[in-house]
Amino acid sequence: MKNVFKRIISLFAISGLALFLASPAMASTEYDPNDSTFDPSGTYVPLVVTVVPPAENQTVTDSNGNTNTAIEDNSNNSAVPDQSNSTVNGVNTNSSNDNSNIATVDSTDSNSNSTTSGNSETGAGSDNNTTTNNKQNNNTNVGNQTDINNNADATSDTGNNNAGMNTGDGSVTTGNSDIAANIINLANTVIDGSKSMALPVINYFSDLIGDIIAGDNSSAPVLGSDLNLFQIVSNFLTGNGSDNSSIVNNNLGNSRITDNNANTDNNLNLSANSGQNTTLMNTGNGDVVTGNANVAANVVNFLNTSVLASSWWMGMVNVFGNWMGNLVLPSLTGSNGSVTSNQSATNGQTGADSDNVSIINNNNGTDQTINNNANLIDNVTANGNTGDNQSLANTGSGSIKSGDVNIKDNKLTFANNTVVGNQWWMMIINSLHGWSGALIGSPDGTMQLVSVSQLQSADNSQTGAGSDNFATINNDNSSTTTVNNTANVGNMLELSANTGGNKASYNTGSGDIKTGDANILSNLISFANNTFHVQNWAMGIINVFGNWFGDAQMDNTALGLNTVVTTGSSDINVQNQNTGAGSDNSAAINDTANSQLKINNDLNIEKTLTVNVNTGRNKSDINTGNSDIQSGNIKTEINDRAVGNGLFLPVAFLASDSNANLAAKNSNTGSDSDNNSLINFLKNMKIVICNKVNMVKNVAANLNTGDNEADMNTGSSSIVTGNIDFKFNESDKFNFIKAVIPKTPSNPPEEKPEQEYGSGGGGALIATDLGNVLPRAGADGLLELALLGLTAAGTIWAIRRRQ
Amino acid sequence: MKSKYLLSSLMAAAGFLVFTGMAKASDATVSNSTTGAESHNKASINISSSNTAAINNVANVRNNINVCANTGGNKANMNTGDGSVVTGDASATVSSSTNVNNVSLQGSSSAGGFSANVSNNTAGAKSHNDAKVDVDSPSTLVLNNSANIANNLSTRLNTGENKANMNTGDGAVRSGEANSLLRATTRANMADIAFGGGMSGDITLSNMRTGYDSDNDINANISSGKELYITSEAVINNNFDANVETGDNEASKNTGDGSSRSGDASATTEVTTAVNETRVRQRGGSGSFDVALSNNTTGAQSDNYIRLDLDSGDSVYVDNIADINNDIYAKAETGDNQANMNTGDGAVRSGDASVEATFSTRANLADLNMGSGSGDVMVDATNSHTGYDSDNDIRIDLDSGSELSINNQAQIYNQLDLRALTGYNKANMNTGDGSVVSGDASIDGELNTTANKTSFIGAAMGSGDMDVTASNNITGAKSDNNIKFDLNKENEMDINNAMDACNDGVIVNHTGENKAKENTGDGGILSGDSAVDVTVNTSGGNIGSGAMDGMSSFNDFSTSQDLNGDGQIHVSVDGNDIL
Repeated sequence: MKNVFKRIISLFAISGLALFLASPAMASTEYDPNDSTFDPSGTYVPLVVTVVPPAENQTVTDSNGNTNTAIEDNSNNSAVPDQSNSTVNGVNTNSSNDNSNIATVDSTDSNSNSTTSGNSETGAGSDNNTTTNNKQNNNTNVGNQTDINNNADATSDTGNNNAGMNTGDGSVTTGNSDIAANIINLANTVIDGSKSMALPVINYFSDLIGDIIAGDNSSAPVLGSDLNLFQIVSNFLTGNGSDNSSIVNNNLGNSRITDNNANTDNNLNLSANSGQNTTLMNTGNGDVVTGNANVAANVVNFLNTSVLASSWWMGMVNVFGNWMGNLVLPSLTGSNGSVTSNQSATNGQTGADSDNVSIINNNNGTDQTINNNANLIDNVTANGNTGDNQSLANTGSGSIKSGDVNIKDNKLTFANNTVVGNQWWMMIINSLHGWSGALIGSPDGTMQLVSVSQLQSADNSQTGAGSDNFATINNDNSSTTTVNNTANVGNMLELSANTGGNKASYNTGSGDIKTGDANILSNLISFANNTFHVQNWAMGIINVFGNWFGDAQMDNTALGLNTVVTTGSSDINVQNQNTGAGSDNSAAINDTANSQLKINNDLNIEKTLTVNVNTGRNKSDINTGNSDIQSGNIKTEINDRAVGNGLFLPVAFLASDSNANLAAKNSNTGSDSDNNSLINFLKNMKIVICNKVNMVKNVAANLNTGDNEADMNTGSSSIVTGNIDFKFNESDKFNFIKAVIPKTPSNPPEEKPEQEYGSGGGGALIATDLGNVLPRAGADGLLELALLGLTAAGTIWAIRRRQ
Repeated sequence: MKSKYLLSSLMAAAGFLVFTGMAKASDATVSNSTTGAESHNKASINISSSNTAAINNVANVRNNINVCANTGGNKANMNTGDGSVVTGDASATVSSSTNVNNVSLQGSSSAGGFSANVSNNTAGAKSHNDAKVDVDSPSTLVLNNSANIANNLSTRLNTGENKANMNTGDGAVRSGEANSLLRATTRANMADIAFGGGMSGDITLSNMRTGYDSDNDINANISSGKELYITSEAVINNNFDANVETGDNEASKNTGDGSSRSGDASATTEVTTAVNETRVRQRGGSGSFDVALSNNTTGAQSDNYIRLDLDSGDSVYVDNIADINNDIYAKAETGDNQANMNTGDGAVRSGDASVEATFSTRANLADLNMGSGSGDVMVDATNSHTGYDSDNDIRIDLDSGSELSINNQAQIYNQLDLRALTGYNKANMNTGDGSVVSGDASIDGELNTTANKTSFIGAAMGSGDMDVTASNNITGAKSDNNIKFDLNKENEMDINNAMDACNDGVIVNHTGENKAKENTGDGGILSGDSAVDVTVNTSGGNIGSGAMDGMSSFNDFSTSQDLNGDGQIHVSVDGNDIL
């Protein structure tokens, strides 16, 4: 088994992202890092593309080329109108330590584990021993240590031009200056399950035309095959004076220890400039017209995600351009199986004075410990300037018109969350410039029943005179899962866009300045320390950084991701019946299934956002003619969401729907016999949760369109300043625990959920909890969050164009 | 290997799904029947199914938001022509929502069912027969919530402070609107707990046809109490500082007319705080038991003993501490404009100023709905047809006391400083007319505070009818027949509320103190309306109980003896009922 795991791990490790990308379904849209066709405006060229292949337990540092510096400088152009555009487009993709332990199961077989162990018709005075040791321990230890440092220092400059002291006119016209930086960090994703679909991570650094088939269902396993466990241990028709022993020892414990440690630092220093031009002391007019300065930064951190599931699908798709095509999600076919366990230990018709021992020992169960420690520091500084222009002392009129500044900052933090349950799915779609499409065929949330039935019997019947008979079944359920996640994430974004700081002064003619707009967009998404312990699980994150014209298609009938309610029954019978005179008879069943869930969440968040925006502070003084100043508008929108230390537990807390029928009997016992019937039925549940969150958020915004001067001009002067519109929305949710009963057709909720408490079915719950966390995106502010689908098990969200 | 792995996976998943100890329905049968002479027979079942949850939530959140927006501060002075300043609008919306320590645990609506049938039946002579069932099914929830949240929100918006002075032509200043909205919504320490109804069941315990000189013992212990400990502590500080200014403009000393006109200014603050809200619901009815105990047809010189211990008390302890400080300063100013000493007319017109402050504070709310079931107990205990010189004992201990304790402590301070200013304008010493028109000023404040509110609905706290029948019937010669029944039903409800609420306000509304004097032409002043509307509602220390159906209990004891031997029936009832 271990070798199979290792081989699969190696396969993933070696082929990494390319494994999925090279699949036949992707043939029409194969990824080619050298393909530079993405050119929506005719100017975008991906300068740097770094893909770090994943490797098992490999440490990836910035020595792998993650430091990207690109500088273009078109300055010092004299007297020549410069209309060239400057674009810096940097992309970093880091993917490391994606370990997948995958045990595939034949899609059609039922799984049976049968043990029959016994001594029958043994001779007088014989010694008969049957011992079966069934040791099935799966020990999985995963240790991931990842350090990622991304430093991007990019400058795009079309400004700093000088057209001065010309006898004729002096004129400067600058082109647009654009910077786009995209960073994706994917580290320490551990998938531990018996069956799997795929872990596609798809990145397109260009426009994309065509469908993405995210998973091939032709080889998809049936979810949840039936499982039957039959164990029969018996001593039957034993001889007089014989010693008969039948023992089955089952040790089905699982031990999973996952240690994830991720340190990620993203340092982005992006500066776009088209301003700081001068036209001074020309005999004619002095004119400055600057282009726009656009800065866009997209950072996605996906760290320390542990999935313990039987069947799962997880995918991430990033398209750094426009996408025309559909996303076809996998069909997970099949239904959930049942678990049947029959165990019997019997001593029957034992001989006189014989010793008979029948024992079944089982050891399997759950004990989960999840320790999450997340430290996030986000520092974003956005500087936008179109002001600080001067048009002074021109013989003609002086005119300044500064451009608008638009800043949009979206942050989403999803850290230290645990989802426990049977079915869970979530789809997050970010289409930053609009989505014209829909989710088609979402699961309808139909309930399925999983039956877990257990039948245990320990019997001594018709025991011989003077015989000693022991029939015992011991079930001690214990398996341990430990997940330790430590994530340290530092995001430092310094974003500057400048079109101002121009001078058109001392010209004999007029001095005119018209600056372009400055636009800054930053999207910062961090997923860290999230654990999903579910049977069937699907999660998709789709980021389209341009427009998306297409649908996300799920197969409603086949996806099978429906909420499952477990029913079950335990029948346990212990009996000494028709025991012989003077015999000692002991029948016992010890059934212990103590479950424990311990979660320690420690979340520290520091967020600092500094916004400095200026379109004002312009001067148009002492011109001989008129003086006009018109400063641009400022529009700033900040959306900040954090969800941390959450536990979703879509099951009943204090009761279940299982039945237990227990019977301990001594009947028809022989004279002078000792008969003991014992059942110990111990099912204890313990939950210990410690959540701790410390968050400090500092936001400082200095916005100015005023402080302009138009003094002492010979003509009249006019100042018109722009509007300021500042919006800040934050919604943070920490330390929440939800254990709710899934809604079933046969078990409708007794009370209508009250909005105030947000209770109700699992679907509504998740909708409530995740519904407010996604950022609105899009540079033009025309997008909104929309709930596309809602089921009892999950929800789907999209960001789409406002109606 | 595949199947093993799948097994473990499925079992692991199932382990979480079957999220409980006590099964929905359990049937336990324990019997020693037709035992041999001089045999020793023991049959026992132990069921342990506890649910324990210990949850500690600690949240420390600081939101410091500081916004400065300026479209004013412009100068168009000393121009040969006209000087004109028109400033844009400034608008800031800051919305902060914090939701921490929110726990919702939903139990099944169905009560746990339990059925036990324990018997020694047809025991052999001189045999020893023990039948025993122990059920221990406690549920314990310990929830500690601690939240410390500070929202420091500050805006400074300015469209004023403009100057158009000393121009040869006209001087005109027109400042834009300024609107500030600060909103903080805080929810902390919410607990919503729903658990299933009390365990119900049929219990039959009997020694029947016991043999000569045999010992027959039956012991049944059933314990199913629930204990909830919920402690919430919230410290919330909201500090708002909204300073909105469109005034302080000047258009003076112009050769032409001087006009100074300020835009409207509004400062709106909304503070919504809800902390320490506890909701406990019991779904379904409380536990009902139907118990039959009998020593019937016991052997000569036999010892027959039956004992039942039934413990089903619930305890709920809620401790809430809330410390909430709201410190709000909101100022909207459009006045203090000047149009003086112009050669033409001097005109000042200040915009409207409005300040709105809304507070909604809820703290320490407990809503307990303990179900509507009756929790009846029916007991039928009989010694009948007892053997010669036999000892026949039946003993029943029933403990169903409940305890409810709620302690609320609230300290709420609201400190307000609200100012709407449109006055202090001047149009003096103009060669033409001087006119001042000040805008309306309005302040609208609403404070709603609700603290320490407890509502209780239900009857599960140990109510329910009791119907006991005890009889020694056709007892053997020289036999000892005893039936003892002890009922301990003590209910306690303690609710302690402490509240310290303080509202401290400074309200300044001003449209006057304008001046239009020493003008060569007319001097006119028209000051705006001033309106202040402040509403304060404070509610604390309320205890409400809704439907108290079934809160009375009815106990019916009937005893009968028909003795040849010694017989004793003892019934004791200890405790008090609610209402």
